[in-house]
Amino acid sequence: MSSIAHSAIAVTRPNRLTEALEMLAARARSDAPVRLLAGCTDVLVEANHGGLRYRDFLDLSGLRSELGGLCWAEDGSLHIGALCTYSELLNDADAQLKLPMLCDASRLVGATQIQARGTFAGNVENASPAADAAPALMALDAAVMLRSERGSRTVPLDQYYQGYRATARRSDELITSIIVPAQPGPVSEQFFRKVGTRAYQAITKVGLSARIRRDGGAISEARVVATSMAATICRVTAVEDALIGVQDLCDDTRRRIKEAQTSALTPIDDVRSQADYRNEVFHRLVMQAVAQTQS
Amino acid sequence: MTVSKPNTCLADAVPKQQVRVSINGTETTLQVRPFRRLLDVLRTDLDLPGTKEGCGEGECGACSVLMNGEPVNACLVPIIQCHDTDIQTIEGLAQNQVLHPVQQAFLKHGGAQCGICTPGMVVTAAWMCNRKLDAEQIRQRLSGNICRCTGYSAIVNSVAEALGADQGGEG
Amino acid sequence: MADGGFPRRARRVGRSSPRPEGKDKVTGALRYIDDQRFDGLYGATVRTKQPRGRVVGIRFQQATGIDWREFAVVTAQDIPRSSSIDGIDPNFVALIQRDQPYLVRDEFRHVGEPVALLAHPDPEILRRAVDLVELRIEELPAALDFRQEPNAQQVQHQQDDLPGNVFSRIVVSKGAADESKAALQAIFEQAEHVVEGVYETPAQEQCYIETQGMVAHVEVDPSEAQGPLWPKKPWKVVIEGSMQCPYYVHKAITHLCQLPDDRVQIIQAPTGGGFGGKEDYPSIIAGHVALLALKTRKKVKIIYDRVEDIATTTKRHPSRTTLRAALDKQGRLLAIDMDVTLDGGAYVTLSPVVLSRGAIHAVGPYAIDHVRVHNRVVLSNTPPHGAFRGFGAPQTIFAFERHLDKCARALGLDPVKFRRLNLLKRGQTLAVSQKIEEAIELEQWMDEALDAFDYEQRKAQYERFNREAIAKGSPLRRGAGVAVFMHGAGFTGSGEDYLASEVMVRAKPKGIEICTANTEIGQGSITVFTQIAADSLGLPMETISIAKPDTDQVPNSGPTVASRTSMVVGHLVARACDDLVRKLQQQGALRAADKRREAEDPQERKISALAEGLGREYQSDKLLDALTESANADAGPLEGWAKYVRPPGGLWNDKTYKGVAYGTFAWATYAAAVEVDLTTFETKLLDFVAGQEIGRVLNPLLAEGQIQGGVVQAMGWALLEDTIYQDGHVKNPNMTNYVVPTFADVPDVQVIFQESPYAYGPWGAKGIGELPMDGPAPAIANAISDAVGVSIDIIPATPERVMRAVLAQGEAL
Ligand SMILES: Cc1cc2nc3c(=O)[nH]c(=O)nc-3n(C[C@H](O)[C@H](O)[C@H](O)COP(=O)(O)OP(=O)(O)OC[C@H]3O[C@@H](n4cnc5c(N)ncnc54)[C@H](O)[C@@H]3O)c2cc1C
Ligand code: FES
Ligand code: FES
Repeated sequence: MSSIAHSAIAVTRPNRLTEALEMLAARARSDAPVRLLAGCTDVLVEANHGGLRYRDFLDLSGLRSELGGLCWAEDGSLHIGALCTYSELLNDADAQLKLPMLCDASRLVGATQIQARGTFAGNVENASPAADAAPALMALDAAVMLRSERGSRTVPLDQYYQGYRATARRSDELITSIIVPAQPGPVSEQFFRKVGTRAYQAITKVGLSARIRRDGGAISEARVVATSMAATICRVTAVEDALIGVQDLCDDTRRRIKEAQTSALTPIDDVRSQADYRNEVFHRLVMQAVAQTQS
Repeated sequence: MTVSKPNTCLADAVPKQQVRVSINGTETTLQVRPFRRLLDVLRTDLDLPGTKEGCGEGECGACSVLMNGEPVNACLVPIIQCHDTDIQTIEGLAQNQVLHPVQQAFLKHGGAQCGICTPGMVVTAAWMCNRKLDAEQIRQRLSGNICRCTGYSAIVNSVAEALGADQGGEG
Repeated sequence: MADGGFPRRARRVGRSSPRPEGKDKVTGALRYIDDQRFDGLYGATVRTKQPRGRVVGIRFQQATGIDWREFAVVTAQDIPRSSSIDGIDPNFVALIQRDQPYLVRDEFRHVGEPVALLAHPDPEILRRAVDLVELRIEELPAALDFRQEPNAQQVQHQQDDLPGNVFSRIVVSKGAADESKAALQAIFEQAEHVVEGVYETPAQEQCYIETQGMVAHVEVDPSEAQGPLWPKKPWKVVIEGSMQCPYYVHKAITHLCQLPDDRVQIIQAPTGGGFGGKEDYPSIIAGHVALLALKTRKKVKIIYDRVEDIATTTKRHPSRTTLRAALDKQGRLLAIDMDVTLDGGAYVTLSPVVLSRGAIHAVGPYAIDHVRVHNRVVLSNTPPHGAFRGFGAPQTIFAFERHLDKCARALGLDPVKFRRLNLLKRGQTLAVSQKIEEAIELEQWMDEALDAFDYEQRKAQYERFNREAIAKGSPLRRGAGVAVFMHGAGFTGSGEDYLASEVMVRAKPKGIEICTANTEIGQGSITVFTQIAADSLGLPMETISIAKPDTDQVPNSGPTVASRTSMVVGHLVARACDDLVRKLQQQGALRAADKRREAEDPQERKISALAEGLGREYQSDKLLDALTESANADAGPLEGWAKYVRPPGGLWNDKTYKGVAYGTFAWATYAAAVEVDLTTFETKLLDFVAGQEIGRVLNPLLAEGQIQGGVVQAMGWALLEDTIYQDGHVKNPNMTNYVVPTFADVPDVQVIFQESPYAYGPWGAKGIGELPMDGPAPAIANAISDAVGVSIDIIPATPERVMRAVLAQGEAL
């Protein structure tokens, strides 16, 4: 089939959230779903390469007053609006202090121009297995706020992905915000590392977003989120479990953690990297995270 | 063979919409199809071809323009999202024939070779003006602009001078 | 810095004069081909999707909104086989051999080969239509890996007495290798050490930021405005576009259209980078737009998008080299036996010349008595590989310089000490038996570069760093690597004689105009030509203008390739200026009384053996008056001409592959410092020093920019850039997955120049365009090998490759 031309694409640009929700609902009922537009850094790449499957779009850019920005709630949680961009977060001084791993991830998304346009909600919904912001959010126990005419619901991010490029969002819903709960522990718990194809403008070949808490010397809680290691961004609970109780890294512990990883993750070969590399380096990143969050 | 009475647009093209946008300080109302790329509107519809297309996928930065003061890739912006925004292109940078400090510095330090990346580079650099940045920060912020000619040093030197920062290479 | 004893009194040459076209570049005012106002048809190319086969049918599928009657369609059938004067099918691109068609007649040899051309006024409709053209194909067995010998069914090219699919073979031999293989083998058998290695390099995409593009229109007799495809009455085709070599395109189009020279006009539009990628391929696009323009009698434009550009245009030849070195106890190189195979892709294109340059540069600036370099370039069913900065030399230099480090390691010598033992000295001969007569001081030049790099201290420091890292369990390792090499400027052997380049300068009111076919592609030719002419004439830069490269207007001064523009053509510019002054003298427009009163430094006139700078003897205002007068004369302006004259010295023998391969060489030492992270196996470039002797620095800012740009391109080749083929398809034809370095991937490149003037370059200058592509990859691979203690022999040295090499030998972390 031939590609969909730009001139054949219809876009509606509502100015109020309720209008947007109405349209989503109507289209969902008639089984002619529309697709949402935020910063367009994913959608336009698809469109320019002739990969679009949708002809109908609903542009959120007119809803900045309702969906824009980020705000810190009293309980210390961060609400990231659906239209909040990476550069907005990077300009927030509190984010730098409290959520360094999310800032690290944001700083490494594309480069300046992509950070000015790309949104966290778009990154989450795009559901790329190579995404950078989504895994950082997942390691921070973030949740996705979804809204439709029927009401709102919250889905923890670690339950959001249901398969390759498939999310829990229903076709009449949109993401209104992403909520990052207050982090009780020190920022030294947070670890983010992306191994990309180059320094910037890089797609992640393998990445680790982790949060490792210690009680005394031993690990008491762990979040280990893998990028480009499976069909979706995912928590690697087998590795998390293997980490519990670990004090320091003897050969035996390393082997146990590696085995847990191998049982849980089977990355693939593609044009950017190969499985052997992904496996080996992911393991080393886990070891690095453990070592680095030690002090 | 002759080409007779061709269609000038696709049969399934959607209707044009009104988009109100300020381009280089001039308010304009465009009649365009909503998904048309800002890049095409600038280059083809408005004959402002200073903004270049190098990749069409957000990688090279040759299409960089300022949207409400921030650098964006014009190849990734559907024109409808420009409604009520302020777009600045390379054509609007020099005021009354007087070059922007970044442009002057590019001339002095050899920041332009073949010149095809230069407009996008200059636009992104102009956004950094009034900031105090060292060479490494300049490199980081310009990493969305690819140059295949200069090896980057001359551009870093140009921008460093324009920012009034310390000159020279990587600190 | 050596100055060669020449005074630095030249007024412009040697200074960082700004680019005359710079303002248009920084303001975005310069209009490249796709920026020009256009009112015509858009063209597109229908391509094969299989690596080899036969096209047995073309079907235009129906779809809503597509009315095929609106399209112009051209296929190979539109090009009459028989129309040719010389008996060669006009459908073949006129290059070294005529084997590559503009449009597939029946058999094709690669994915993406053009089969049909479409034109339509609406680019979107056109794009949709291209997908609707269905090619019926009978597949044929393809040769997909150049490293494997083809079986009988995969053989598609048979030439002379060469094995199947071999496009060209070259053997360079010296000493015992001249006698026999056995004689060479005997040296290996008696040697104290023999070191072996195998090296591979990938297909590199030029990735100029302006993709390829052309616009054409035809001028036909009004009576034939609607007529048959090929006009009966005289007609003309005019093509403008992004290119390096207008006269290459000219030659190709005169053959395709079977037109006399003056009926084909080729104009270079401002060009956004070339790097070799716009040397030969533009001829094909030019042919395509010409055919569509002919078919429609309208203006037609084809601009490739990035995907089409990467997937179908030429790239650097992939290579595989096996090397054996024989050494004595002290570490002197006794003999080299080297086997180089290049992947030519589907057609011959420029491959034999690429092979030749690689062969001649293979063993570098070292004194080795016995050498055998066996080189071949073979067919594979991928798009043809072609010209890319360095032109074969980077491939062989990578293998050889990497191998030298392996030898040093085997002997327990420091790589620099080892090179020092073997460096060439004045009066010694290269592998092709060319005796180096110029005043080379390779050791000194190498030391200057290494001093800037702080080689000794750095090595010691890194050793300590790595020891400590191991002790405390840090994953970081540092290393330093060096490459010493040379690059010959200008065409190889007798190439410049065949080119017989010509330059013309013409009197203009208050100045002159320089007419050459050489193109500004970012390297600064406009600036350098202006400087050279300004100094030849003793006039200010503003009085010099440069004619647009347009084959109707400028003589054939040869292609803009092979680092020849400043050195060879720049020299002709200086001589043409002299010729113009001589003619003004003869006409009496300049008289003895017009001479400057103060005496010129006599030394200065001797700087260059041929360019005398005659105009400088005259007072500027008198010279300008004379030029103005001539420009306004009824007879038309005077023109000064210069034609290439071979510098004195030995000849080149193409049969024996011996003799003077290049009039001169630039000599270089590059040094790289890296840090490898053993957690991720990523390599970070810490520092880079590029030291080179280039005769004379015509414009420091431009020269530095050339070196830095080339070095960074080579850094990409060394670490990142790889064209991935699968079943003949390019799997990464976009800038997301074909990754070139960004600002943050590379360090500031420190550039050092030495000057030992070359008598036959303008003010002593040698060519430098390709040189910086040669050294970085081996220097970086040597540095990584130094850091991690295992040999990195395949580039790009991706983290994946480094990991496998490290793990294979059992890493100690
Ligand atoms: C050059 C380049 C480099 C990049 N580099 C990186 C990188 O390093 N790391 C990385 O992770 N990504 C990268 N990306 C991808 C992209 O920039 C990010 O995923 C970005 O966050 C997407 O946000 P957006 O607003 O642009 O999404 P859009 O393109 O607007 O939308 C993406 C998807 O999300 C949906 N969507 C958007 N908003 C909502 C909403 N509120 N509710 C429901 N659905 C919604 C859209 O329908 C679409 O399916 C890169 C892209 C480019 C072009
Ligand atoms: S053309 Fe927009 S980023 Fe390359
Ligand atoms: S100057 Fe040519 S790409 Fe930057």
